[in-house]
Amino acid sequence: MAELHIIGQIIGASGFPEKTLFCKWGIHTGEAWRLLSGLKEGQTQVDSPQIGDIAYWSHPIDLHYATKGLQGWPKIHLEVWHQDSFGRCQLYGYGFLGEDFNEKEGGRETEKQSEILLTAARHLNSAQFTCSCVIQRIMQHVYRAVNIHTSI
Amino acid sequence: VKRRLEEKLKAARVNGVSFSHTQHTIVKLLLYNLWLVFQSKGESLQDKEASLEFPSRLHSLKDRDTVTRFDREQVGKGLPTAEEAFNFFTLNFDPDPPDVIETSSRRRQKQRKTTDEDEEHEDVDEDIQEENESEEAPLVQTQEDLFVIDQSPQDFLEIKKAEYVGYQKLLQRQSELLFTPSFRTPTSIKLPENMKPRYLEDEGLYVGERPPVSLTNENILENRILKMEEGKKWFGDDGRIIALPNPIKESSTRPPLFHMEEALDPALQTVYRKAVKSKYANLYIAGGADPEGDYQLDVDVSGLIFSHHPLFSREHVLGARLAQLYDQYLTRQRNNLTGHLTDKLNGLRNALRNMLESHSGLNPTQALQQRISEYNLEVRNTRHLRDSEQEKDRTLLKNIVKVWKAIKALREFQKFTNTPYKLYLRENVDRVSDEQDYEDEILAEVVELEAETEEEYQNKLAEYKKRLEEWKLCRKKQFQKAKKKKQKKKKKGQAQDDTEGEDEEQDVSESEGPTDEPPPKPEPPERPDLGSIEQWVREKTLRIRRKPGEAILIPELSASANITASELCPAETARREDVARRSLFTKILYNDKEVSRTDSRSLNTDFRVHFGQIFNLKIVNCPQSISLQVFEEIGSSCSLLAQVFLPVPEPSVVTGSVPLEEFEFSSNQRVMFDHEGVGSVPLSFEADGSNKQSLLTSGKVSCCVSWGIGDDDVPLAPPYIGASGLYDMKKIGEWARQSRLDPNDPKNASIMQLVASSGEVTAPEYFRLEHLQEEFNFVTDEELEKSGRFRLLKLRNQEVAEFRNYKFIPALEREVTDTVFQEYEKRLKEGEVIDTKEHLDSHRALVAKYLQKIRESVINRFLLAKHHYLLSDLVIEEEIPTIILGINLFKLAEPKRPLKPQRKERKKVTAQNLSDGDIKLLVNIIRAYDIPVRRLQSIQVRPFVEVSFQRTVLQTATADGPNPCWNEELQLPFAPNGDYSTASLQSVKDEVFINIFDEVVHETVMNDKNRGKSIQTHIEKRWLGSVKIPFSTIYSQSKIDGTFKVNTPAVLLGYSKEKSHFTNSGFDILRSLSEGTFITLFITVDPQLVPGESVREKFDTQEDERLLQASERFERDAAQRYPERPCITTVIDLSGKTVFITRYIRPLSPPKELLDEFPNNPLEATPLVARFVSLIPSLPDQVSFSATCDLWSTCDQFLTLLAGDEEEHAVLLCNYFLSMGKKAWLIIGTAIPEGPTAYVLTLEQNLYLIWNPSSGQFYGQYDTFCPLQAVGCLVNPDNVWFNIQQYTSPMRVSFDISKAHLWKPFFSRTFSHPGLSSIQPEELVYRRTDRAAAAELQDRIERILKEKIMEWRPRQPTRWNRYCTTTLKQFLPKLELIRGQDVAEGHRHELQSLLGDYRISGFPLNLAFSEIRPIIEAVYSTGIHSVQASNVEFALAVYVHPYPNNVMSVWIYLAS
Repeated sequence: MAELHIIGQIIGASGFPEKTLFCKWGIHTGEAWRLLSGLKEGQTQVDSPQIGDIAYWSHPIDLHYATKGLQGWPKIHLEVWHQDSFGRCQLYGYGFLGEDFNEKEGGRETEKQSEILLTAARHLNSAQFTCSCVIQRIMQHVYRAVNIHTSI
Repeated sequence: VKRRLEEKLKAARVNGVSFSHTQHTIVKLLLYNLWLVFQSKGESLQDKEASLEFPSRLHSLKDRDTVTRFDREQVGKGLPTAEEAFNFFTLNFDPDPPDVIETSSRRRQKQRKTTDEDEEHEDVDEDIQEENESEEAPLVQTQEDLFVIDQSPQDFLEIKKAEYVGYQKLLQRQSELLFTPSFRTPTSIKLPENMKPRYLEDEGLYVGERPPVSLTNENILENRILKMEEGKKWFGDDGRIIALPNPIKESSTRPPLFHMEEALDPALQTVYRKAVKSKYANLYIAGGADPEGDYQLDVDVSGLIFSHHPLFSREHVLGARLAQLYDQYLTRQRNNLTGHLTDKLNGLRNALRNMLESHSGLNPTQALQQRISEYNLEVRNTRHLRDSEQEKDRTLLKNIVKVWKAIKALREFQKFTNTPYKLYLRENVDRVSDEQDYEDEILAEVVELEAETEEEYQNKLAEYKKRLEEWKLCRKKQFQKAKKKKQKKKKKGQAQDDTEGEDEEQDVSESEGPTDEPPPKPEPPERPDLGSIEQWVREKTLRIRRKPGEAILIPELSASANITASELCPAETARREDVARRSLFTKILYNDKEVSRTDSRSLNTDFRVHFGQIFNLKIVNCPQSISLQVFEEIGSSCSLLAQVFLPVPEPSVVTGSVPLEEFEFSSNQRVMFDHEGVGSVPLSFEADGSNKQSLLTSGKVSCCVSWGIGDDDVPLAPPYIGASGLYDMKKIGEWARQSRLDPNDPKNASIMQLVASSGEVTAPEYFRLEHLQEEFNFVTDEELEKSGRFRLLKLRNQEVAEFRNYKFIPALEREVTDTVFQEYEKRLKEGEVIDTKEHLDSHRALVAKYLQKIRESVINRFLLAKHHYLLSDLVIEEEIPTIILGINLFKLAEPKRPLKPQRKERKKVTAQNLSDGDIKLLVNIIRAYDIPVRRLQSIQVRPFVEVSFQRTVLQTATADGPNPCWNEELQLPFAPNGDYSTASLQSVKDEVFINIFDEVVHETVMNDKNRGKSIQTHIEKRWLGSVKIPFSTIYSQSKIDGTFKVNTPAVLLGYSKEKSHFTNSGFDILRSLSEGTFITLFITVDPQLVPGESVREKFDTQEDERLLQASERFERDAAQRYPERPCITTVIDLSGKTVFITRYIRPLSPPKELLDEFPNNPLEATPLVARFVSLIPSLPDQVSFSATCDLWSTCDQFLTLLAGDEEEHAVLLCNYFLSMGKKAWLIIGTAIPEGPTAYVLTLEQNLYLIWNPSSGQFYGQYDTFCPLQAVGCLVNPDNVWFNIQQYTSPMRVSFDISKAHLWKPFFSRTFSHPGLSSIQPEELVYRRTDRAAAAELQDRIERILKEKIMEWRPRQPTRWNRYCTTTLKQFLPKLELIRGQDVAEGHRHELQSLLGDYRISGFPLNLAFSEIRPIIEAVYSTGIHSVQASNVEFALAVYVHPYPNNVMSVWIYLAS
C-alpha cells in the first residue's frame, strides 16, 4: 500500500489573447488509485490582472491518494478559459501534465514548477503549475524489488 | 623523524612553555583554531610543510603528551589516510573536540605569544605540573582556579585533555563497529548445509551471461545478505547470488535518429502502407511478410475416385463393393495378423513346454509357478485373438466370393457388362503337411483346454470346501445355542409361571431366529466333461478354418473385363450419357479462403477423375486449415459435392518426398434418377426389396500437401513453431516435456512460453485499458478496503458525523485501532433498532431516531452548501489601521482617564487559531433580587452563586441579605472536545447552570471531651434556585447581558419570600409578576468566537415567485432601515423548502382535557394551555442540526417530535390562543437569553400580554422584567407587520397594528393577500397519554436518580428515609395541580407536622421530560448530594404527570 500526497497550486497563466482568465482542472488516475481525501477537480476564480500579463489564481491543490499498483500515475489536466465582459466563457487552451510531475526517484519530496504548453487554436500559451509529491509508503517488497530509497 | 621529534620534545620540556592569556581570549580563538586544525587534517597539508611546521612548533611546545603524540603521528605518516580522516571526524567525536580545541589553541597561542612567555611563566608551570602528575585528570579544575578572577560565561565550558587512543586500539574498536566486507565469502556458508555447489554451466545447461559486477561489490552484497534472515534464498545452486542474465545487448537494435532536422536516412524513411485488415492479423508467421521469409505450400491434387456416385448402375455398386472388399483383403494379407498370431502362439507353447521340462523334477518355486501361470494366461489370450482373426479372414473371403457371384449373376441377367472387374481364385495346397498341422493344432488346443478346465474345477472345489466348512461351523453353534436355551427354559419354568416362560422363549427364539439362519448347504461343483471339449474344439475349428485338404483360395481382382458398348445395351444409354455430361473440379481453400481451383474435368465411365495439378501457395498466415471442395458441374450449374480437409504438413514434409495420399469424402445428398443410375438413396439388391443399403455419394481424393523447395534446396517451410506447433499445442507440450529442453536457453524461450501458455489459450472476454494491471498490483482490493487508516481518512473526508472533526489520523496502520470504528459501525448496524434503555420511553426513542434522520439529511445538504465559498471566506484581509498622524498625535495628548474606560472592540477569533484552554467562559454575576429568606432563623440569608459548566464548578463569595450584590467575575474553562470548528461549537449541548445557594452555618460542639474548648462549624449549602443557559445561546449571541428570573422551586422548605412590594392587578391572572427571584448576569466567551454564518443557499420552494420577490424586498427594506430588528417573512420547513411565514399560523384547538378543566372560565384555561406548551422540551435548531439554520416545523410535526425551539413553541401557543377566540400574534423579536426568538402577543381586555412560550410565563406590556427586549414584527394568519417605530422595547411600543405609520404591513392594498393556505393540519390529533406508562417511567426515574445520588457520594453511605419519601410523594400531585404557582403555606405546615422534628431542607423540581440526562444534570446541579453531615438522610420522590400526546411533566422532590 502506498500513499501519495499531491500538494501544489495552479499559479497562473499568461500569453493568452485576453487576460481575464480562469482555469478548470482535474486529476486523472488509473484504476488502482483511490482518492482518500481532497477534491480531484475544480475551477479557479476568474482573474483579471490590472497590471502585468499573468493572470494569477494561486489555486491550491491538495489530494491524498492510496494505490494498490504502480501504473496509472495521476495526471492533471488544465483548461484555460476566458470570460468576457458579458460573462460568456470560451475555451482558450488545454493541456495535460503527465506523470513527470512526480519524477525524480528517491526524493521524499519532489517539487517542480512546470510550465505547460497549452494547445490553443492559434497561440502557444502557458500555464504554470507547482506541485510537490510526497510518496508516503510503498510496501516493503516494492522496496526490495525496486530498491527505492524512500524513507518514511 | 621520530627520533628527532623526541629529542625536540625533550628540549621543549626543559624550556617549559607558558602562555599568558586569559581564558577569554582562548575561547575566542577556539573556533578559528578548530577550523585551522580541521583544515590541516582534512585538506592534508603537504608532507613537507607539515613536517616542517610541526617540529618548529614543537620547539616551543611544552610537554603535552597527547599533543606530541598526536603530532608525531601526523608527521610520521605525513598525510592522513582517508580512513584516519574519517575516524577523526566520526569516531569518539564527543570527547575529542574539546581536546583538540584546547591543544590547538595552546599551540596557536604559543606561536603568537612567545613574547609574553615569561610573564605568566609560573602560572603555567603549575599547570604543567598538574598535568604531568596525572595525565588523565581534567584540566578544568586548575583552570577554574586559575582564571577565577575574570570569569566569563565561557569559563564554564568544560575543557578536557585529549583522550588519545592508540592506533591498534582504534583499529580494534573500528573492527567492532565497522563492517569490512573485503574478504570473499566461502561458498559453503552460502549454501544449505551438506550441499555441494552445482554448476549448471558444467552440466551443459544454458546459464546466460551475468551482468558485470565488481567483485568487491558482490562480496559486500553477499556478506550483507548472509547477515539477513533467510538470506540464503538469494543464493543459487552454484553459491552465487541469483542474477538475471545481462540484459544489455551488444549492439543497439534501434536505428539511431540523430538529426531531427536533417533529412533522414532514406532507409529509415517511413513508408506509407495502407492498413490491411486481416482476421489472422495476430497469426502472421514471423518474417512471413518480407521477401526472404518466403513460405510455399504445394498442394498436389492428382485426382479422385468415386466409391459411390448417384450415376452408378447396380453393377457399379457391386463392383465398387467388390473392389472395397478386395482392398480390405489385400491389406489384411499384407498385415498377415493371423500368421503372426499363430507364430506367437507356437512360440509361447514351446517356451512353456521348455519351462515345465527343465523343472519337472524339482518342486516348482513360487516365482516359477507365477511365471507358468502367466504363460498360460498369455497362451490363452493369444489363442483367442488368433481364432477371431482367422474367423474374420474366412468371412472376408467368403464375402468376396459372394459379391463376385452376385456380379456374375447380374451380368448374366442384364446381358451386358458395365464394370471391368474380374475375379480369379487361385488354389494352393499341400495336403499332407496340412492335415498333419491341423491335427496337431487341435490336439494342442484340447490339451490346453483340458488343463484349464481342470484348474477351474480345482478352484471351484476349494471354494466349495471352504464354504462347507463354514456351514458346518454354523450348524454346530446353532445346535449349542439351542441346547443352552433348553436348559434356561427348564430353570425358568421352575421359578415362574409357565406362560411367562413360554413368552420368554418365544421372545428369545424370535430375537435369535433371523441371525442364526444356517447358510444353505453349498453344492459341490460338477466335474467337467472332458470328452465334450474335444468335440467343441473341432466344431469351432471347422467353422473358422478351412478344412484340411481344402484348397487355399487366393483371390485376384483385375479390371480386364470388357465393357459392353453403349449401342449393345439400350437400357444403359441414358445413364451413360448423363455420366458423360458431368464434369468435376475442386477448389482449394486455405484458411477458409479459396485460393485456387483445378480445371474442370469430365467424369469417366469408371468414375475416376484425373486432375494432376499442383498449386503453389505462397503463404503469409499460419496455416490453420487446408481443404478441398469437390464440385460437380452439369452444364452450367455446379453443385458442391463434398469437402475434404487436409492436414497441415510437418515442416519436414517437402515436395517430392511424399507420396500421394487418399482422403475419403462423402456427402449426404439424396439423388434419384429415372434411368439406370441408382442414385444416392437406400437401395435393395433383393427382389423383394428387403435388406436395403443406404448408398451415399462418396469417394476418395488423392492429393498431397507439402512445403515447397526453394531454388537452393531449402524447404520453404516456416520455422518450427509456425508449422506443427500451431495446430497441435498439446503435442508440442508433450514433446517439450519429453525432450527435456533447457528452459534457460533463450533459443528455447519462445517454445517454453508456448508450452507454458498452452494450458489455457482462452482469449479473455473483456477489454482492459491497463493491461497487466492485476499482475503488478502489490496489494489486493480487499486489503485496501480493510485498511483502517484509509477508511478513517475517507470517512473524515466525507465528513461523517463521527469522524468529521477527527484531527490526527495515525500514519501507521497498526496504530489505527478498531475501537475507532465501533461507534460508527454500531450506529450503522443499529439504524432502526430502538434503544429504550437510553430514552426510558419508546415514543421518545422513536422520535430521537427520526430526528437523527432529519438531521443527517439536513446536514448533508448543508455540507454541500458549505463548499460554496465567497471571496470573503477565502481572502481574509485585515483592515488596514487608519494611520492618520493628526489623530494619533491628538490621542497621545489626550488625558488618561482611568475612571472612564473606553470600550475596546474585541477581536474576533476564527476557529483554526484556537487550541485547548484558550477559550474561557466569563460569567459576571452582578446582583440578585428577592432571594428567599430564611423562615425561622433570625440570621439573614447568606446567598452565594455557584456556576457549573461541563462539570467545572466555581462559586462566588458569600453575600448577605435577600438582595445581594456580588459583582464578581468567574472564568470557566471551555473544552469542546478539541475541535473548534464552527460546526462543533454549535453542537455543544452543555448548559451553564447558575445556582443560588444559601450558606448555612451550624455550630456544633464536638463532644464532651472538648466541650468549651472548641466549636466545630458545619457549613451547609442549600439550593435556592437556578438559571440555566445553554452554551449554544451564548455562542450565537456572543454575550448575554440582563436580569433573569431565577427558577425557584415551588416550595422551599425553611424559606419564604419576602414580600417587598405588591402590585395591584385588576385582573385575576395578572398577579404581580415581579414576584420571584431575579439575578443580573453578564456572560460571554473569551476570546470572542465567530458565530457560524447562516447558510447561503437558495432552497426550492412552492411559493409564488412574485410573493418571494415581495418578501425579499420587504426584508431588504427592513434590514436597511432598521438593521437591528429581526424581520422574517419566509422560513424553511423541515423538508428544506421555503415557506411563507403566515402559512404557519392557523387556529388549532388545544387538547380537550385542558379545556375541560375549566369549562366555565376559559381564561383559567389559558395558563394551563401555556403550561402544556411549555412542557414540550425545547431543543435549539443549532444543536439538533449543527448548523446555523432555522427550521420551522409544523405543529403536528412539533407534537410528534416533542422537541423544538422557541419558534415552534410560539407558533403552537399562538395557534391555540387563536382557536380559543383570543386575538393573538406571533412576535418576532429578540429576548434574553434566547436572542432572536418568537413570543406570543395576546390582547386581553385592552391589555397586551406577552407570553414566553418556552416557560409558559406571561408578562404585561409594561412589565420591567419581561425578557423580551425588542419587537421586530408581528405575524398573524393574514399578514406580517414590521415595526417601524422609533423604539423596539415592548414597553415603548404601541401594538396597534392598524396604524400604518407604526407598523408596516406586508400585504397592503397594492399587494393584496393572495389567499395563502396554511400548511398546518386541519386539526391536531391528540393521543391520551398512558398513565401506566407514566407510572413506570416514574419508577424508573426514581430508581436511576437514587443510584446516581449514591454514585455521587462515594465516601459516605447514603440513607434513604422512606417515611419522608412517601410523604413527599403525596405532595407532588398537588403541586402539579396548582402548576407550582402558589407556594402553599399550608404545605409546609403539613410537611412539618407529618415529619415531626426532622430538620429538613428540600425542594421540588419541575422539568419537562425529554431524556433522563437533563434530569440527572438538574439534580446534580442542585448539589444536594454534597451534604456532608454524618447523619444525613435523603428523601427522593418522583412524580410524572402525563399530559396528552405524551407530554410529561416530571416532578422531583428532593430533601435531606
